Amino acid sequence: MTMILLGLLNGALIALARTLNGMLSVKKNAFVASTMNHFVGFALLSVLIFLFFGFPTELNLDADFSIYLGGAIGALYVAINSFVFHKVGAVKAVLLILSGQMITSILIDGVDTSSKLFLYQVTGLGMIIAGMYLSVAKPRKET
Amino acid sequence: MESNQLRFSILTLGAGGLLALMIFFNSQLAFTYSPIEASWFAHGVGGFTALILMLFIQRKSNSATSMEKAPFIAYLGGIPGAFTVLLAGYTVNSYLGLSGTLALAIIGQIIFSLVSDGFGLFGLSKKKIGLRDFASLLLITGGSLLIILASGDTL
Repeated sequence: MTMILLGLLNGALIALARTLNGMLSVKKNAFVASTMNHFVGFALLSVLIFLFFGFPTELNLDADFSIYLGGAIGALYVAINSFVFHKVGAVKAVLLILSGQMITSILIDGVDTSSKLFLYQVTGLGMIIAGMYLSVAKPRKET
Repeated sequence: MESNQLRFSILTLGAGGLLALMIFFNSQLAFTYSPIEASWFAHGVGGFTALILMLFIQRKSNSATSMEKAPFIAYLGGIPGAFTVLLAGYTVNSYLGLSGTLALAIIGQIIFSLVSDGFGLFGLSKKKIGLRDFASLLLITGGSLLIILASGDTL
């Protein structure tokens, strides 16, 4: 039960981070929000690593350079996210980010049509796309 | 207005795509280093990238950054963001595993957002959830949970 609560708390923290960045984006701009988000997080992680995990981190020079790309993509992700947050609202932001994330993850991993998982993936994607349609295409009656 | 909403929606969808790419690269980083070290690198690289983008944008248009004062709490988005790394590291290694952690994180986000929108917290405009929005929420959440839970820990 504790783990389940921690798991839910984790989600709430993700949403809170998004919300706070969105607030900063409204007052300043999306790139200020992204910069602050990353440096504040970096400072906090530096302290935590220093206190509990021990510096220095040994640089792995054998690893492919591309593994560091996630940080750069994250800078853009947080900026866009902060920019749209107040324009579409919190719930719609979560739902559309989730949709984009699930679709892209499946594209990255590829699908195996012979696996049992394929049926679930197709059903899941179908539900996501139907949900996106409902969320984006508004009924015509409002003028 | 309506076409703007569509544009913002597509942009948000694209952000989700970037998130998936980011997680893909960051998980390779976490494979090379520990999860917390990986997050530390990602935040550092991300910070400098964002700083360069910010300076570039400001140079292009002088009015890009408004002088309005933001509440202090708005500067602290990085704190919950960094804590999720630690928390996830903890739950992924419990019986929840990766899929359970992801599923609960989705539910936690949905609950938090429903409360934020419903009560108009954090400067959001108060929104009522209609039947259509609720159906959309159930479909997207249900579809995502189905894929994640069916994948189990092979994800």
